[in-house]
Amino acid sequence: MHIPDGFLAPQIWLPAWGLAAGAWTWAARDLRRRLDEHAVPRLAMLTALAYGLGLIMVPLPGGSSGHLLGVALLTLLFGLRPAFLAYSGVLALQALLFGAGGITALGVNALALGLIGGATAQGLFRLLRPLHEETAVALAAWGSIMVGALVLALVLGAQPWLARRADGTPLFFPFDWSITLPALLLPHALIGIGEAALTLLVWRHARRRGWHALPARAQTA
Amino acid sequence: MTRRISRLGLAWLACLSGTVTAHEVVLDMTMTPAAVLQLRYADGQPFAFEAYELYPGTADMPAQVGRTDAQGRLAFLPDGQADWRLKAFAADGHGLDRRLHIAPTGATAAASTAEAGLDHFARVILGLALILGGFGLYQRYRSKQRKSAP
Repeated sequence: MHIPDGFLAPQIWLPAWGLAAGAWTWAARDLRRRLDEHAVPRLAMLTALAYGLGLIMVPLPGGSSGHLLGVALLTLLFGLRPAFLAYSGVLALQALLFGAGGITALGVNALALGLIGGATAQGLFRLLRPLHEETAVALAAWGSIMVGALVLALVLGAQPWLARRADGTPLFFPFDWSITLPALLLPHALIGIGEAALTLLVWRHARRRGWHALPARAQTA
Repeated sequence: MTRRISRLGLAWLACLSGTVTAHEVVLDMTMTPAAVLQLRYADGQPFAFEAYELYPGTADMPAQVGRTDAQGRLAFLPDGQADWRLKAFAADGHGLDRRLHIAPTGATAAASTAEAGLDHFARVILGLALILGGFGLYQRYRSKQRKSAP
């Protein structure tokens, strides 16, 4: 689900880089206060897990494939800002080392998956936690995948309208919303189930190991 | 008179035959060397049945469009053109945009990031080392700051 280089028109990826730079600055502010020293090794370990998850393509029914992200578990365990920074680093490494996602598209990918996906996980968790904590974790993870996929589908599907050749053919990504929305949302509804299961597993482990103040972290940006 | 009309009719039909057959699609088959590109995901799964566009040099219009086969392959004839640009798209946003150099023998140079430089496993390890090393440096920096704080 990472957009590569050459798929986005400059009128999208340039402002997205500007927005992402602002968001990274915001996320890095007060990081020392938000992230205690005991949390740093755990964040490193789970960032490495997110990096690995993005490299394993899981075959899906219908012949397509996809991968988990790990954004929700980073956000719920460490808060939105550290998770956004960590996941942006993961995206940069995947782009530089594997060509999985582009450098020009890094701003869009980081905003859609790391910030909007993470904020969705945090918002759903806050909303649903009073009902049932573990259900809230699972739905937060599923929702983060779906909303991230939705944003990327909207951005990709807008490309044929944004930049065309003189003969009307798309200059960058050729598929519009009628194709990108089902192509991204249907497989990610399944991927989201895997993401929910993994996030719940890690969440339970964190609870058992006494990673205290988990809810507090999940509720503060 | 009847014979003259018949001759004129035959002559007209003979003239028309060229345009009538122009609508027929004719198939010629020749065996010739072609450049074959294979696209796959980093874990080895083929980039199968996905759309691609091939651009010669710096052209804005593709010279060839189509879909990869079940093994993620596509074949094309460079026709002496050395520099190409390949764009391949999956509808879910996966794909690539890569410049290729086709050597005169037909072998592609720098067509595969996997073969140029580190192999897949080495890049996985390098990524993990950068993540853990980066966090380690951050932790060390914080620890130093805490110690130097009054």
